[in-house]
Amino acid sequence: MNLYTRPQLALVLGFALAAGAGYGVAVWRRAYPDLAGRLEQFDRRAPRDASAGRALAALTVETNAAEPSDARPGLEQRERAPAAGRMANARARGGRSDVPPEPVDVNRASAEELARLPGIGRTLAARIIETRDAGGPFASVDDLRRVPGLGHGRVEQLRAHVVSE
Amino acid sequence: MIRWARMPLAPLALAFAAGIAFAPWLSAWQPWTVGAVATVATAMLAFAGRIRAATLALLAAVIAAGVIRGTPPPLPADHVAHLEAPIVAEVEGTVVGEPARPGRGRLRMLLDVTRVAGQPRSGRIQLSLFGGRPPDLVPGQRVRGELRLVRPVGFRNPGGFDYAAYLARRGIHVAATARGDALTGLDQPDAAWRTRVKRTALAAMDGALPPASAALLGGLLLGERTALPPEIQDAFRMAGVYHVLAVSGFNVALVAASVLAVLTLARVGPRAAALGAGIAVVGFAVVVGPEPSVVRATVMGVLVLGARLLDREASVLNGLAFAGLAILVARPTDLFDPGFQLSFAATLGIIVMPHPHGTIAGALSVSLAAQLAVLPITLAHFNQFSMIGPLANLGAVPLAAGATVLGLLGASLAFVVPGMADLLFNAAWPILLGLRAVAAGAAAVPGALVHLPAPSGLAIICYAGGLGLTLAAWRQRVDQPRRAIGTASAAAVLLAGAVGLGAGPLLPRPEGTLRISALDVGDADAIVIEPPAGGAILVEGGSGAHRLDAMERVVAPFLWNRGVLRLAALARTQPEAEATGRTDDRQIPAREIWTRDSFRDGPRLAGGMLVSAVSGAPLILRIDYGRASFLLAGDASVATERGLVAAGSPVGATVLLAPRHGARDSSTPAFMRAVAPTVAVVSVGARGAHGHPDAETLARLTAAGARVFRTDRDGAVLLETDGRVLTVAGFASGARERYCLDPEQDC
Repeated sequence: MNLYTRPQLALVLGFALAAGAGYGVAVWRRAYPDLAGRLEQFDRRAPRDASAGRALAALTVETNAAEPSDARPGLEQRERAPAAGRMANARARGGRSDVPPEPVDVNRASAEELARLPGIGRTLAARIIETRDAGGPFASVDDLRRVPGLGHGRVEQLRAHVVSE
Repeated sequence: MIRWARMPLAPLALAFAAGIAFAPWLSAWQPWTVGAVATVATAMLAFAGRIRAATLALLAAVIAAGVIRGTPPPLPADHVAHLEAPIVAEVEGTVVGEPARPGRGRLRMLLDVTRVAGQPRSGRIQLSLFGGRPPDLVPGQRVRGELRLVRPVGFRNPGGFDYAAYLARRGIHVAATARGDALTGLDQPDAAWRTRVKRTALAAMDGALPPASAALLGGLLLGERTALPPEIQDAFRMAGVYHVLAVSGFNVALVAASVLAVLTLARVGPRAAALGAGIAVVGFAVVVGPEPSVVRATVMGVLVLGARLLDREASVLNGLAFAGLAILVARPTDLFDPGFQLSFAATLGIIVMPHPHGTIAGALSVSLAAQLAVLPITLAHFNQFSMIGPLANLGAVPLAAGATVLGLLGASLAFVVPGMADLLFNAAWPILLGLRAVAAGAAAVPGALVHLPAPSGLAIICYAGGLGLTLAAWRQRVDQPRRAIGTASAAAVLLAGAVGLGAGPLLPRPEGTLRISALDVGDADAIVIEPPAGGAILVEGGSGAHRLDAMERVVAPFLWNRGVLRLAALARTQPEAEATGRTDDRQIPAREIWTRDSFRDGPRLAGGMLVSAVSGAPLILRIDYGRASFLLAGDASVATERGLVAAGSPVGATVLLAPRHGARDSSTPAFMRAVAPTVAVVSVGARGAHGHPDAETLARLTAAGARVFRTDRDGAVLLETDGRVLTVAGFASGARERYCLDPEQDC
């Protein structure tokens, strides 16, 4: 007597096999989490040169919280959050709560003072000093763009916090 | 021969699509009157027994209907688009569809506006939220917030993607921005069941699998690929297997087949099984959402299952035509959607191409048919096609099918036995890894992805005609071998014509003209120089590319469409500056990188023009060709300007590419006196947040005697000269000027 047909048995067996395989994988993943993690990451490249820029950009986005990034067809967005909101946001999120209340003179400030500005870390502070020493004082806040690594975005972000005298 | 009688809907669908496609030109021709006359004529001719004439009249009537449907209706009087933009106003509206998360801290959604500043208004807007903490939003929720309403503007460049037109086709004429916490929900409706199903399924996958694999499974099952890391998406695109990440006939067929198999084996009658599969397919489509490819696959799937239900044979092509007609009647602008075009072209290609027997040969042939059919579409929209695709699909499709079936089972069990679902997702994990490995491996093959200029309409028509005739010749080869030879040669001529037309931009230009294009990339510089002797040089400047990928999304397609697959040189005016948004040299490789050191030995002759650096840091280039000269002052600061004037550097030029997007303290009077340009080009973003260009700076440029072109008003500014005559054209504004540079001669 045949209770089940062959395709029926195959279906049930296939389902059991999939569940069994899944159980095996689950157990293996728990036993070797490092190996599983590495397998999962095999096609995720470590930041290369070009994508380092992207990573840096992502950081800028973090502090600016306004720069859209999107896949096609999102070629949108010349619109941005209002600048004021952006500054507040940069301050709120920048992680450095001790932004100096007084504007900093970029032609006199020390590296420590500069490093406290929003969006400026130690590296950029050092570069600002280097550029100032090498090329003379900054004629204006806009002139800060001489500093390698200080783009439009950062300079605009700095504008409320710095003066050049 | 094509047997039109077996697919009566195909000519109607084609006529309707033609009407929509040509609506902008035909809408002036009284489509209502033409349609009415053609309908009456159809009836009378059919009554008189003149069937052929009646058919033609019917097609004319359908074309007229397509024109009527394809012409956007006038906006109602209370539409938000009538508001003065940009404004900041309190807006009330209803969330449409599931909000998308295009990036970290960003949320984008469609909003059906009900009120603006207290006044009743209508219309759909696209709202982007940045930062803050947006409330939990569900489709159908009513929200209120202080939003900034603006007209959407994309970058306007030759061959570029017109974002504003894209939004307008979807009925969106206003975009809005706000911080996330500016929006408040007015009610808290329960999410619709389809949203809940989708969220539960995605959450179950997220719980069972590591993030990237969970995102991949979400893409395979539900087409939800926003969480998928971009490098994995790139790999899939390069390998030509990206289509598995979109919901298509593939998923629908797997859903239908799985349900059908289970029900049949559970001894449910064939009709009840077909009915059950039909319900499952429709339910799946509702959960996934109304993308054209989903609707197409669902309509065709339901037709096939319905035919099974009625014990009739289904004509697949007729089903395809019916699906196309249904989509176009409901949403005519889908005709221009790449997803719609790819889905229908691939399906058509697979249906009409004869496939050999045998599993591997058959699979290869299916894959090849789809690739051949979508080739002009991917070239036209994305300037690319995958050479490795047909091969990569052999590995990817079975893996994707396996993972999809396991995932579907798991997702359905997630609502009943969550533990069981976890096991099935885990079983899918090695398959997902395998799929990723296939994509990564295929993408790593040199030459996997080829970039080419977008083909012209004529080239596409030649190509389609050539493929059709090839098919006809193949069918005639047994019965009418002699005619088959004739058809085949006609097909060869057409295909050769298509290749010739498509390769046109790749041929060298006639020598003697220098073209300089200042592309519209916002507050940044992207200047493409095409020297008189051929080749192309790209000068990039301004570190504040406000969109991370604006450069590569705008510059690369522009170059590809100009037939430039390789740059002769790439100059970055601030080589050490942060590298955001720069052209990715994987897309367009450059033979040489120009820095200040490249000009240490003085001016260089490049492609028949003279290039010199008037300043090293930032790099400021000067180009001389005949009587025309160009000063690319992109990143000159006030100090640089002052230094150049003091040193008496050769800055006098016919055309000044103005420094720093027309910032307040740029283009100082002394500098302008020294340059004395005839034309000044300001590369500046529309509605940039920096307030560029400054009105006084513009006044200084004009006062120096220069006609000012701006990329925010004119779109890309295209300059062309033969050394004697200079023409300047604004791509978007249509402004054109012509200057004779030789005072002695009339030209």
